[in-house]
Amino acid sequence: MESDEKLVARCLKGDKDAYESLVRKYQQRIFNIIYRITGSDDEVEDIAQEVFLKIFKSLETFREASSFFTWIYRMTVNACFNRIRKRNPALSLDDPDLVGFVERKKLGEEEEGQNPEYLMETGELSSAIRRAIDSLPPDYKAVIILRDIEGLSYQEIAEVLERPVGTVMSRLYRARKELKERLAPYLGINSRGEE
Amino acid sequence: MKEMDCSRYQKLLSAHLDNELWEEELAEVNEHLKVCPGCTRELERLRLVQTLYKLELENKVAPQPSFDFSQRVVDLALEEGVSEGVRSWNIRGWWERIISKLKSPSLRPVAAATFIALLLIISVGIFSTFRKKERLVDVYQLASRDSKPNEEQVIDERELERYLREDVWQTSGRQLNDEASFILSVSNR
Repeated sequence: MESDEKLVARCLKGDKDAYESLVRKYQQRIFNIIYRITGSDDEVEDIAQEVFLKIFKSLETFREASSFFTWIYRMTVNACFNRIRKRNPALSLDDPDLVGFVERKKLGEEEEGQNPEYLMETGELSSAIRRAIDSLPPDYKAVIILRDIEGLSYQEIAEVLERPVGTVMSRLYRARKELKERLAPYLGINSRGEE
Repeated sequence: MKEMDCSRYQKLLSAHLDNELWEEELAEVNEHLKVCPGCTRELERLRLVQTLYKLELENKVAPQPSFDFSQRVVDLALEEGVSEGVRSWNIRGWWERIISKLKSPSLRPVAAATFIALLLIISVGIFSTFRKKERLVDVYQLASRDSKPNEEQVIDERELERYLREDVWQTSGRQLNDEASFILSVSNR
């Protein structure tokens, strides 16, 4: 498969096929990131289209010093954040205590004490995990997805989000802590982590 | 005191899970884990939570892009005139490529030599311009000294100034005699 750098160079010469190749190469990954961050499949194609158009328009600003996928991920994550902000202008992207982005159900209150094996069998654990992920602030969700699903290093995530590595490390820590607390009832522990 | 220590280590457990700790931090956390069952348990819980949400997220796959998605995006880009932008970017792209190539370590001596050569050419150009002006003024003064006092007023100062300003770049090869005769003709008019 042709490298990103070569495809970008061909795009800059006005090669239509090269641009189409770039879109085909990244479309499914971009669709997945958008879907996982926004949690909505209605807007995925629309946001993806916006991302690719923006990439094509600002292709000349792409520097080979940073990798193309880091750049394309940055555009995607920012487009998701913008869409979420548009949906809810009062939303803070990194405030875990803010209620309002999605329904932030306190799982422990109603599901504590249920047998984990039973919940797993009935698919309740799966839906609880989904709800816990959906309830995370977008910034936290983004670091989790970039690290645990896309497999980016802390340095790469820092480049995508244009934040220091220390911020990435602390967001990941808080995001995982938040998820652990929300899933505590299923792990047989209380929200403070005591068994 | 022990609790305070644990909270510091617990903040590092997430990065430990990702193998993203500095060597010294890693050694320190590992030492702590050997003697702290609470933090060891916390690390295992984090690992379990990570496994669970990763499974869930990996299963959360977006709908497939429509078969003509890439074609539509390119068509839309063309409609919005992006292709014309690309052509103009090429010029900028060339310039940026030249600059970035000159910045590369292997071409730095060439870039420095080019810069110095350009600097020399510009300096010589400026110096010769001033020298020429000085010479023309000398000739003018020579001509004025030889002419009668009332004739000096006849000299069209503006015409001479225009000559000095406009002609100085083009007449670099002109002989001093030609210039002197021109000045004399003006001053004797």
